[in-house]
Amino acid sequence: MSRLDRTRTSPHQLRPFFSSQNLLNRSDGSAQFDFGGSSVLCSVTGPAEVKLRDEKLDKATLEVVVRPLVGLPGVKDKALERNIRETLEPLVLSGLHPRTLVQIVVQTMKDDGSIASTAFNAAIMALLDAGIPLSSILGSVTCTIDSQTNDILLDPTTEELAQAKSTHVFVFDNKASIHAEDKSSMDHDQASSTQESSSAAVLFSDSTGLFTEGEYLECAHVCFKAAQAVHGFIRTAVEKKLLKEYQQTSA
Amino acid sequence: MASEPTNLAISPAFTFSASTFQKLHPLEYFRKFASQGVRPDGRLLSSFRPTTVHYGVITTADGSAMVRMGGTTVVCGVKAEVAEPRLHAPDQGYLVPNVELSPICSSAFRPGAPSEQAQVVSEQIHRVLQESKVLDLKELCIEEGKAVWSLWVDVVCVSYDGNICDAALTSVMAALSNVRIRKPTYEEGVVKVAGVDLLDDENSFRLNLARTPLSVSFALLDTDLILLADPNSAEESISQGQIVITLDETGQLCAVSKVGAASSSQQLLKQCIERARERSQELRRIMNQEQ
Amino acid sequence: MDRKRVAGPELSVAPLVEYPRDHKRWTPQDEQRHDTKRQPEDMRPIYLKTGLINQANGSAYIELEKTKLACGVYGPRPGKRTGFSGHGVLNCEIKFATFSCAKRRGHMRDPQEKELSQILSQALTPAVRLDLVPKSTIDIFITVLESDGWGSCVAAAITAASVALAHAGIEMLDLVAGCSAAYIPSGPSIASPTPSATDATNATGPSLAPRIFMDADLEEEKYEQGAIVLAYMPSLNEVTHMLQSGKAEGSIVSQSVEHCVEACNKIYAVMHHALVESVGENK
Repeated sequence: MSRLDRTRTSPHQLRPFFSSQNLLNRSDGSAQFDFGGSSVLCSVTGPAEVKLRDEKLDKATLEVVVRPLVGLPGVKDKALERNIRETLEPLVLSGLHPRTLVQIVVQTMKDDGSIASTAFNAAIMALLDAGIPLSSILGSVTCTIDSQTNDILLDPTTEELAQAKSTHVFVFDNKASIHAEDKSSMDHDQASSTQESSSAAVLFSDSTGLFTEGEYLECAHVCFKAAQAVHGFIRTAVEKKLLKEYQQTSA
Repeated sequence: MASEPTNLAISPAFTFSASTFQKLHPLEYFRKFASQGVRPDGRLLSSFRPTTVHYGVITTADGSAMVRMGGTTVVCGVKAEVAEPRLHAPDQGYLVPNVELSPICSSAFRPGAPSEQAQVVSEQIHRVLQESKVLDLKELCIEEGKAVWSLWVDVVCVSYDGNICDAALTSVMAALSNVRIRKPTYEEGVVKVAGVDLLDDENSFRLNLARTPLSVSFALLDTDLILLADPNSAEESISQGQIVITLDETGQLCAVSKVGAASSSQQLLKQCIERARERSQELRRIMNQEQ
Repeated sequence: MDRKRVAGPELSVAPLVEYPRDHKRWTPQDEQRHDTKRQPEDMRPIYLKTGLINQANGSAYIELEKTKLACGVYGPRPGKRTGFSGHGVLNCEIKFATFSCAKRRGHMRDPQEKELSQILSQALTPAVRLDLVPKSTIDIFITVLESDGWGSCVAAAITAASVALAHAGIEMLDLVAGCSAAYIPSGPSIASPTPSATDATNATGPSLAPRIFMDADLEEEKYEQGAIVLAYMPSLNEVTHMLQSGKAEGSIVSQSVEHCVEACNKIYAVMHHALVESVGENK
């Protein structure tokens, strides 16, 4: 089984993750997240003063600004802005900081496909770095269905996206995976695959192209599994960072 | 003087009329209805508003349609103009959809540059048209590398009452199916069309649409994820998220999006797809009736 | 380059329309008007309805055959301007839909739209009791869906806006009806659709009195030597705004004003009917 992306052997293989937190010293939190050749840098400022027009009396206002790799932001970036903002809104415990602004700036650094997913992951890591209270974390994975082989390809590159029949971006929070673990540990008898797919609750989904309902659910299932790796990676990254900070302060 | 305290003790301190209650606690007001399985406008949670489609309402446009979904009215007009093709696609025309949410249709919109919502809806329609290959852009070629048709598909919202997404896409598809372009002739850098009063199959052509994607929207009310089909503007303002399912006439999915609110189970998504399938068939029936 | 809209080609033009040799188009020499059913003093039938926009305080939709426009009134609502003002402000904005004219229009507000907005505001302000709404703004938004003649578009906008104001329950001295007329030279020498300096020097041209066409459409407007738009309050018998452009003898102008006043009285009946109907619906 070969992919257009020669570095990978299996269609369900993700590109290597890379992340780095606290890169920018003028913002309250920042993070970079890479999926192979795609890289997004994200900064978080807040809780900060909010414009009177945007002020919400009972919670913090979330503002997302998306900057593309080249040129000025257009309608595509505006759509991504809205998607990120509305997905993060239920996750951020905004009631703890009423009448403030949390600004998230997303800057694409390198683009080789799956930018939306990279941006979601970078945003959540930057929020963690800024210490904004969250109810759960999220992990995002993109997949495509190849127009020639009809295979589900995870984490596609630009080349693979061009050859795709349909493109699917999924975001899962780790609440769903916690429930899935609980359930599978509780009743082993039931078939785990059906259990998992039914409990793979979708936080955000954006699919375009031409596809059937079966293909869509299959993609959701494959991405849900892959998102577990992203969750695990984010957890490890944060743990490592905290450990390092602890060592530095105690030393 | 003495009777006042007793009066207060008997009657509650505040009593609201229904409309005041709605203004103060829109969400609570809605929940009172939802708990009975109905909505304030009398619909069931899963029912859609009456929809009408009219074709060819604008004679200055090359194709047009007006769609009314409850209180939402949109007019879509298509204008065909001649442009130079892109360098990397010398035989492909342009299909440019844009949605205008001007201040006339609701007090929520300000004059000036398009709001975020207008941009997002325009982009959604643009992506559906592009990704599900509705129109082969090669059909719009006049002279390769020299001149192509540019179809400006502009949607004007006249009255806004929620669910602009469905109304706009329906009007775009209806207007595109209504398009008639005069057959062009290309001569030394000039594109000419014959001026005739009546357009028929001899002197004009219609667009060969590969499919007709139609979207069906649901609003999500947080906490218990109540699903509201075809939300109006009051329901949109209290909802936290939305699910939009786009299907073509064969029942194939063209787009699925779920934005905002808490995680929804796949069961819920399946339910939406099922409802969307029925609704898009109904919409198609309405569109074909009028044609 | 507009970044807030889906991008198309940077430059696009309408194709050249070529008419066959034997194509007969309407000219002022024709016995009848462009719309053969109409006499020179006839207006196009008016369709007027209120309450199209349910989010607005008041709204109206007007249709004069091909001229179609929608009007929404918002307010009185707090004005943007800081500082106290004893009078409210009437803010009018006209927007042409991109597909409303023969040539595609841009999304941006152009000078013509600004001019029309100003005319509308001047025509309506005398009728509205702005002294009753201090510190407030009344916004009138108009979207022209299809335009068939500049004059009829302005007149229809005035008529629709005043009905929408009444529908919003804003106090006025009277409804304002708008009416337009064009002076079309009937001299046999004029054959070209561009009445320019050559016509003025023509010996037969000016001596013949031009015909007055009420509510001229686009095809007739191409030949006009002047036009008039009148805004008139029928029950008070007062004119709020008059716009006369082009060259015409005084007698022609006063004659056309009389025609317009007469037509406005007819329009008033239609406006009245539309408003009574909207009250009936509310009951």
